[in-house]
Amino acid sequence: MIKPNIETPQLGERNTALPLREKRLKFWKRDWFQMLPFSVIIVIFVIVALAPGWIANHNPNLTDLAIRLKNPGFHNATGTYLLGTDELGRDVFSRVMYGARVSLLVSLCSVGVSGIIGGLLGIIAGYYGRIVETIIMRLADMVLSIPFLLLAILTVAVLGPSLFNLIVVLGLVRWPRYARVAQGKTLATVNQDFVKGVIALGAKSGRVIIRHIIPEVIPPLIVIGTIEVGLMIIYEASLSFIGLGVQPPTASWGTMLSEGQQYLTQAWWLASFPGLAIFLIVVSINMFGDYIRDRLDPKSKRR
Amino acid sequence: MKYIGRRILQAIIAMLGVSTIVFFILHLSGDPVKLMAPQDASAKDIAVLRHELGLDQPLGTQYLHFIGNIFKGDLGYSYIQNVPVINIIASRFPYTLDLALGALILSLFFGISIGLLSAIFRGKWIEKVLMPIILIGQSMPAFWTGILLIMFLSVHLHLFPSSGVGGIKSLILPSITLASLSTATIARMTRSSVIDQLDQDYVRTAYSKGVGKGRLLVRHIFRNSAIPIITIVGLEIANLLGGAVITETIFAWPGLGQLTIQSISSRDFPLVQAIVLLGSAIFIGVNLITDLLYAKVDPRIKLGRDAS
Repeated sequence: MIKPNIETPQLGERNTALPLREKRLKFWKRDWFQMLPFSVIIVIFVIVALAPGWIANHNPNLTDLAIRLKNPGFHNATGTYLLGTDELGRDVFSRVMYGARVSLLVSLCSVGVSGIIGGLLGIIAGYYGRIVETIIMRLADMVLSIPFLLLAILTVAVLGPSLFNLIVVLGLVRWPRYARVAQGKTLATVNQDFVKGVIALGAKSGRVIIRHIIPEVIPPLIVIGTIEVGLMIIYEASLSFIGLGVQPPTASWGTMLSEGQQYLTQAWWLASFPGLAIFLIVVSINMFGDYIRDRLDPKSKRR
Repeated sequence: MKYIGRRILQAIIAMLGVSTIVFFILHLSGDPVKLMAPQDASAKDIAVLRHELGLDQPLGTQYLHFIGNIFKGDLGYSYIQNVPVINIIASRFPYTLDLALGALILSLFFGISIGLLSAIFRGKWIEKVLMPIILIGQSMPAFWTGILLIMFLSVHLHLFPSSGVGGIKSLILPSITLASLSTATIARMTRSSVIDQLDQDYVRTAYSKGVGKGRLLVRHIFRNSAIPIITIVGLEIANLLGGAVITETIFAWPGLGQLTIQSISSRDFPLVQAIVLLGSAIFIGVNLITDLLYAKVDPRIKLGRDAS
């Protein structure tokens, strides 16, 4: 049986990568009401993503070449086209709304996949130590030393582009970030007296991990996960932008931007609104992530 | 010397690991030949190709062969153009290098100065102007930045060409686009590590001893906050190659990023694989250099590591 590695506190060594202790200033100490606009954007985003049909007033994939590239505010017998129409006469507003669904689905699922994989591997590495730790953490280092976007592009290209593969790939290439934090936190927890005591009393490994380690590991993972959701939204859009993500005609902010780029001179609204949507939601998530980090973890300001 | 030797050994092991990961990803689909062969290839063509590429051999042999070739510098032949992938990469690399250098200069200059200013003038209006800029830079997806730049500066104002290569003028917009995210990251890191130093006792001591503000900043504070900044700059240099894929797509810039997309759509896997390996080698190399730089900037690291 492998014993937990109580005597190997290598925390100091492992954390030399970013020896950073940011002093929060008044500027960063946001109160909840300063978070209000960002929270509102996030809530709207989630509602839109869950039920885009409530708000969108057209079928996002319905083409009508008679009304292609119409200005925002254009309206005809079928209703108003709030953000104009695209090169196939589809309603840009409805497509932005439906794009939110893809964005939320991919970002949340991939964060879930990478968080669970990374969290579990990190806990295993931190708890059992020795060879298990070496293998897992070296593997994490190696995955981290392949430029992330290139790794994602290679994997999607091999597996073939689809919504499901996108989630799997973003999840699989992103786990090392969680693993590093989970491993560090597990090491710190295992070395605390109460955990040593529980182990000395004969608690089984499974019980120690579930009852004592996981509750300690989850808060920092949530902090990383929140910020990662924003990044994943950008990466989903990036991969879709270069044609390796969500495939047309499904509305995705990334594909809308790449289609819109071809009509920059005639129709500024095609690329502007999906870009604005990405920007607003990512700013909000970043602000929210900073806020949660400060609330959950006021002592350590490491990134 | 021992420290340097150990770091170089680690870098070689990392490269070995990365090659292994890439090898397994290429075998994820089950049969790499199906990926490489044209859609209408006959069963016989596929068998011939499989033999040519050595893919009919056991996986272990293939793996050893693959790793051996990488360390010999032989990355194989492009399936489409039938020339060594190294030659294709060499012809595109200078473009990406130009772009990356342009972006690096911009992000170092603006990142460090924005970070420094917002740290020194914390609580003042300068900081209140600069912090939202950092935040916006962090949240702007590169492709949107690029498209906005094209929309305003080339479509409306006709200041810069919207795509292609041609003199320094065509380099400006892609460099800004590629630099935007790194600038924000470098600024944030500079700011927090300088603020970290500002509160230290030695700074107060030096100031009360009569050290001038400028000298204090350059000789004392900046030197001590250099390590986190070097780390993040190293990571950002390595990230530039990934970011180049997007930026080059937007601006039709004929570098490695565009080559990646082209080779994926033509299913030229030896080329894709070589680009990924090159990107990782650059990443690992840059990290090695930053680690060696630490020892130069802060001798304590070298001594500490050797002692352990």
